[in-house]
Formats: sequence, C-alpha cells, structure tokens
Amino acid sequence: MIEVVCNDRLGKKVRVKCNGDDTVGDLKKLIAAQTGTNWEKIVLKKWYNIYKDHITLDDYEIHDGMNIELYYN
Amino acid sequence: MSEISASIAETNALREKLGLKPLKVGPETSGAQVAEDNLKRQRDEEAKKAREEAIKTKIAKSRNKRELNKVLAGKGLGEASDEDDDGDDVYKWTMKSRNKEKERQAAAAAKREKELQELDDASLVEYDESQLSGLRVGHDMSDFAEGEERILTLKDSTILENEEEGDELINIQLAEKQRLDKNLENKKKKNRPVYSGYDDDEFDSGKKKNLLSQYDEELGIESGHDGFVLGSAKRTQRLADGQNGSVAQQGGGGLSAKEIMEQKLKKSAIDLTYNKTQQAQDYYTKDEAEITFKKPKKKKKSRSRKAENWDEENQDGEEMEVDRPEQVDISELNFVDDEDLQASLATARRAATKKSIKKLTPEQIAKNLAESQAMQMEEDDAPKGGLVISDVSEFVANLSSSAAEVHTGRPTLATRAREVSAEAAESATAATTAGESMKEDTEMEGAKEDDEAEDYRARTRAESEEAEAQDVAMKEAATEEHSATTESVLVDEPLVSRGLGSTLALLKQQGVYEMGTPEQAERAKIQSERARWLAEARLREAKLQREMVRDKARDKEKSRDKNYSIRDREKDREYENQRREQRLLDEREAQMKNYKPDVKLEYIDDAGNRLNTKEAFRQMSHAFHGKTSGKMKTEKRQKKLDDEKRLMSMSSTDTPLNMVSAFQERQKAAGSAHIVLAVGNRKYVDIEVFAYEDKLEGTTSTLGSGSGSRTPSTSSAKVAPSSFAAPNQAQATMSISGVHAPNREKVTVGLKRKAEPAQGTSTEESVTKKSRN
Repeated sequence: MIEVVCNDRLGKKVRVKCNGDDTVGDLKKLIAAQTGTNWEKIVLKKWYNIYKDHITLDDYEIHDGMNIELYYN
Repeated sequence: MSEISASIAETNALREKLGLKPLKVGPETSGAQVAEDNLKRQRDEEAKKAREEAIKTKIAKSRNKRELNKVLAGKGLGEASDEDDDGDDVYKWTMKSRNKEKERQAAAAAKREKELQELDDASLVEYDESQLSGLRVGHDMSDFAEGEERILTLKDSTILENEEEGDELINIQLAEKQRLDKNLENKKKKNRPVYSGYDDDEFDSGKKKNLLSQYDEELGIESGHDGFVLGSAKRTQRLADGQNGSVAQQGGGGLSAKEIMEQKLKKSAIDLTYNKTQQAQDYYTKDEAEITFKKPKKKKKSRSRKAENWDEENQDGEEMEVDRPEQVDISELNFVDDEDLQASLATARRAATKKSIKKLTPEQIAKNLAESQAMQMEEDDAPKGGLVISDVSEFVANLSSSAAEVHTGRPTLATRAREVSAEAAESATAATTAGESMKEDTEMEGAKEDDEAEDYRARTRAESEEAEAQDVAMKEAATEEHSATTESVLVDEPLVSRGLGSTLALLKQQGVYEMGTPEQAERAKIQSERARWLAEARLREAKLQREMVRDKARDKEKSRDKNYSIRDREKDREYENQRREQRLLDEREAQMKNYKPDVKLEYIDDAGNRLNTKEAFRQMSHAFHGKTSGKMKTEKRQKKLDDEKRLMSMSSTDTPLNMVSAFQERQKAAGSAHIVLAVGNRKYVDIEVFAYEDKLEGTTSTLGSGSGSRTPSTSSAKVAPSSFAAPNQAQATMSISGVHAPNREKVTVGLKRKAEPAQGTSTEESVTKKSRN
C-alpha cells in the first residue's frame, strides 16, 4: 500500500491510500470518491506529464508519499 | 486547508465498491527484499559451484601427476651413468668412441676412393673427334682458311634457345667480324640516298626491296643458316669429293679457293632437265607474272640537245670566227602577243641560220672574207657625203612607200596607235642591232652576192629599213603638221606619194582619221612601255635559264669527281639552290620596280551603254542584293537615257521641230527664194490663209492693209482647236473675225472647209461673211 497526496492548490488536498499495481484510472476513482467530483473530470499531472488512465502507478514510478498535481477538465 | 484522507478500512470499502482488490496491508514485501534474497541465493549457488570445481581440478591434477610419474619411471641419465661409474668405465667409453671414429674415417676413405676411381675411369676414355660429332658450328665452311687454327667455343644462348637449337660452336673473332661487317653494311645502307634511280640492289642481293628498306637493320649475327654440323654424314660425304679430310679436322684443313668457287657455282646451278609433257598455260604462273621488264631508257633527243649546245655556244661567245650574220636575239624583237606563232617562227629562223652555218666551208669563209674586203674597198672609193642614186636605192624607196601604203589600210584607231608604238619600239631596238650593217648593206646591194647568209641579212635589213622609213615619215609628218598650223587657212594638200606621214597628215586634214585624245596617247605610251618591260623580263629570264643550265653542267662536272662525297654534294646542291632562289627573288623584285600595269575598268549594262562609277555601283549592288529599282525609277532613268539619245541623234542643222526643212519645202512649193514671215503686225500666215480661202469660195476678197478707206481695225487671229470643240465641224478652222468698224463695214473672214453652218455654237465658230461691195 502506498499513500499519494494529490493537491489542486485551490483548496483540495487528498491523501489517498492505494496499491502500486492500481492504474491511474483507479486512483482517479478513489480521489473522486473522496472529493466528490466526477472522476472523468480529473487530470493528474506531474509537471507537464499528464498521467494516462490505463497505466499502473508502478509503471509511472509513483511511490509512497509522492505529490501529484490535480487538475480538472 | 485540510487534507482529506481516508483510513484503510474506508479505503477498502471504497475499493470494494469500485470493484478493486483490497489494499495490501502488512510487512513491506517489496522488490528490494526479494532482490536481496535472490542475490543471497545466487551467491550461495556460486560458492558451491566454485567448491566443486576446485575439488575437480585437484583430482585432475593428482591424476596427471600420477600419469607423469608413470612415464618417468625407470632409470634416468644420471642414474644410468651412476650405475656404469665403477672400474673400467672410462676405458670402455674411450674404446667405444675410438671405434666410432674409425668407422667414420673408413666411410670417408671409401667415398674418396670411389670418386677417384670414377675420375680415373673418366680420364681413361680417349677424347677424339667422334665426341664432337653432331655439334653445330655457326660459321660457314668458307670462313675457315686452310691451315688456320681457330678456337671454337659454345655459343651464348638462353635455355630456350638451347633447347630449340642445341649447342652451337662459334669462334668469337669470326662472330665479331661478322657483326662488324653487318654494322658496316647497315651504315652504308643508311648513308646511301633512298632512291638511286637504279635497281642495282635487286641484282646485288637478288631479291626485291621491301618498303622503306633503308631503315631495315639486321640485328646481330644470323647464325644457323650458314652453319654446318661436325661429323654429319651428309656433309662429310659432300665435302669428301673436294677434300679428303673429315670435317672434324677443320682445325687443320680449310677449303681452297677452288673448292669455294665450285661450291658457289653449284649454288647457282640451273637444272637443265625440264618437263617435256608440260602443258601450255593460258595464264601466267606466279613466277612468270613476277618477271618484270626493265623499261629501256628513253634516248634524249639529240636534236634538242644539240640546239641547246648551239645556244650555249652562242651565248658564251665561243663562236667560230666566221662571217656569221649578226645574231639578233629573237626574244629582244618579240613584241607581239602571239607567242606560239613567234616561237614557231623563231625555230624556223634558227633552223635556217643553222643550215647556213653548217654549209659554211673554209673555202666559203675565205670567199666571204675576200668579198667583204672588196666591199670595203668600194666603200672607200665611193664619194662620201654625196647622194647616191641607184636602182637599189630606188627599189628600197619604193619598198618603204608601199609598206607605208599597206599600213594606211589599217583600220581602227586604237590598234593603230598600239601598232605605231610597238613598231617604234621595235625599230628602236632593231636600229641598234642592225644600225651598223645598214649603210653598208644599202651599198652592198649593188654587188652580186649569192651568199647563203644573204637570206637572213635581207630579212633583217627589210625590217630595219621599214623602221627607218617610218621614222623618216613620222618626222616629216611632224614637220608638216607644224607648218600647217603656222601657215594660212588654205593649206596645200600633202601628197600621198610622199610617204606615210604625209598620208596621215592628209587624212587628218580631211577628218577621216583623227588623232587620239591625249588620254589614248597616254594609254598607247603605257602599253608600249609595258611591251618593252615584258621584253626585258623575257630577256632576263632567258639569261637566268642559261645560267641555270651552266650551273647544272658544272655541278655534273663536280659530281663526277670521286673525292666529292655524297654528303658534300647534297650540301653544295642545297646551297646552290638557295643562292639561285635568292637571286631569282632579287631579279623579280628588280623587275617589278618598273611594273606598271595598264588597268582600265569599264562597266557596260545590258543595253550596251557605258556606265559611270555610280551606275556601275548601282548595277553591282542590284546584282548582289537581288533586287532592282522600282518601276518609276527605271522608267525615269530610261527616259533620261532616251532623251540623251535623242539629243545625240538630233541634227545640228535643224530645230527640233524641223522648221528649217519645213521652210525649205515651203520655198520649193512657192518657187521663191524667200519666205515672208510677217507683214506688219500680221503674221504672214494670214495671207496664205486668205489665198486658200479664196480658192475655196471662189470670191476675191481684198484686204487693204492699212487702206485709207477703212479705219484701222484690230484683228485677232485665232486658231480654234476644232478637235476639242466639235469633232463634226471643220477641222483646222481658222477664223479671223474683225471687230466691226462702227460706221462702214464689218469684215469677218473665215476659213471653212465644209460649208455647213454651225448651229448653236459660238460666234467665232459660225462663219459669216458680209461684204458691202
């Protein structure tokens, strides 16, 4: 289990517990469940990299305690 | 700002809802742990493997060692020696080594003995001629003189050559000599001129020359073809009849001259047996075709050669001291253009003179001499300075006049002028040559001479006399002309009988013959100059020719000299040629100094009119550009030409409208010697008109000119152009209407051919006549 912190810098900061072999889409769904937004509206970014839904967190080398930028469509 | 977070349970609940597997909670079984485990296991395995390997190698080593030891089992070197080391070992060893030495020496001795034996065997075989048989000698038998000793050696040759030809014996000196000969021959060939004009080479060498054979060099000695084989049966047999010794004795015996001779004869022997059944062939066989016949050389014409000789003699001044008529160089007199004719004439003349010369015998010479002396005496006797009139002089005078008459018959001006000039030139030259003989000849005429040379002399005399006569005539003419200009208007007619000059003068006076314009005279002069120049050029050329002939003869003389080598001759010839050419060029240049060509360009158009420069240029331009002037321009030019022509053809005695002839006709018609042109103010025509009218009308009308009864009235004569006004009406109607006088009369006079009154025309055309009387 890893914990990832997602911050949109507009007032929402979410600490999400997830597995490393979860996909980015799964992570988005977890975030959506905790924040109450549509998961399809969520965009996860690290600098200019937009994480794609079907790729796992391990593949993106997202480790425990990392910060991910949270945007909305 | 607070972080939203969910606990693990919450998250797991959520995940369940989302259909995801629950979170892996518990110890961290991360990849690193696994990796560590893996590493550890791997290392263990490796260590184990290494241990096994070590044991294996150890076992192998021990096994190897054991095997090696097995090989080394037994006695070693040291061990062996150690075993023999006791007592007589040294003696044994020495004995053993001694034996070995002995054996070796024995083997060497045996070998040497064998070799010596072989040598002895070889030396025992006798060396004689038979061992040389079959060897080839590279020289001809004739190269070895009798009693001469020569050392023959094997010829240098490559392996291939050796295999091909076998060994060959040569003598170095002989070979050297052969090579030298060949080189000399080559050198000679090179020095020889390429074309000698003879085919001596063919006869010398017996074969036809190749193309550019002078560059063919025979390299080296061609051995083999003239060699012989020592001890060959055939050869020895052949030589046996001539010489009793065998060929192997060639060191001692050579061939005598007789033998050589015989051999040579045999070589050129001809087989006299022939095939009697041989059929005649239609065609040449190859051998027959190759036979070529030498063309016999053309004999030079002796006649021309003789003539040349004669010329040369003449020119060299080595004549006989004979009373030969003075040689007049024909080229000097040759002014006429027709060269062929002149050439033939010259040959004829030369033949004649030659004949005469040939016939001169000593007696005749003596006779001639006597005659000439007698002549001299007569001459001396004759009174000097006086005029001698004899038959001969009369005859000569007649001759000249008749000749002059013939000359007057000659037609055109230009040719006339040219001829006169040419004759003048001729006479000038002829006079110099024949001048001395002239006087004497005229007097000699009286004496009878049947000399053969007389013929020739007479000819020259005739020529010169004619020339002189002309001279005299010309002078006369000149004087006469002069007198004619100075004397009064009425001149005496020059008498034709007095000569050509007077005839000329007469003709000129009468206008039959006019002297040429100054321009023509100039041209004639130039032409005469040109003729003279040509003659001079010819003379010079003849001289050059003569010199060339002489030079050639001298060259020939020189070339006959034996010390005079070919090279020298070539050089000299070249030099001579250069010199000659230079001289020729100089001559040409000198000739051209006076060269003044007589050029006159004249252009004539299609109609035969002479064109001036501008017109000629236009014509050429038109021809070049392929176009001509337009219609208008051409017409204009034509009109101009026509006008000119008309002007030229217009008679100078009449006006263009032929008034004079008209007047003359009138005079004839009137039968009077005069013509009245006008009376007072009236034209005379009026009267005529009246007369005409009277005839027509049958009435007489009097016209008092200036009569007192009438007031002077102005009258106007009008010629009505009837053809213009009314074609029907009277042609050439002349009406003279008088403006009526106020009180008394009105006279209107008219001329009418047709008596019908004109209708609806002007008053001037209606003809009325009123007469009070």
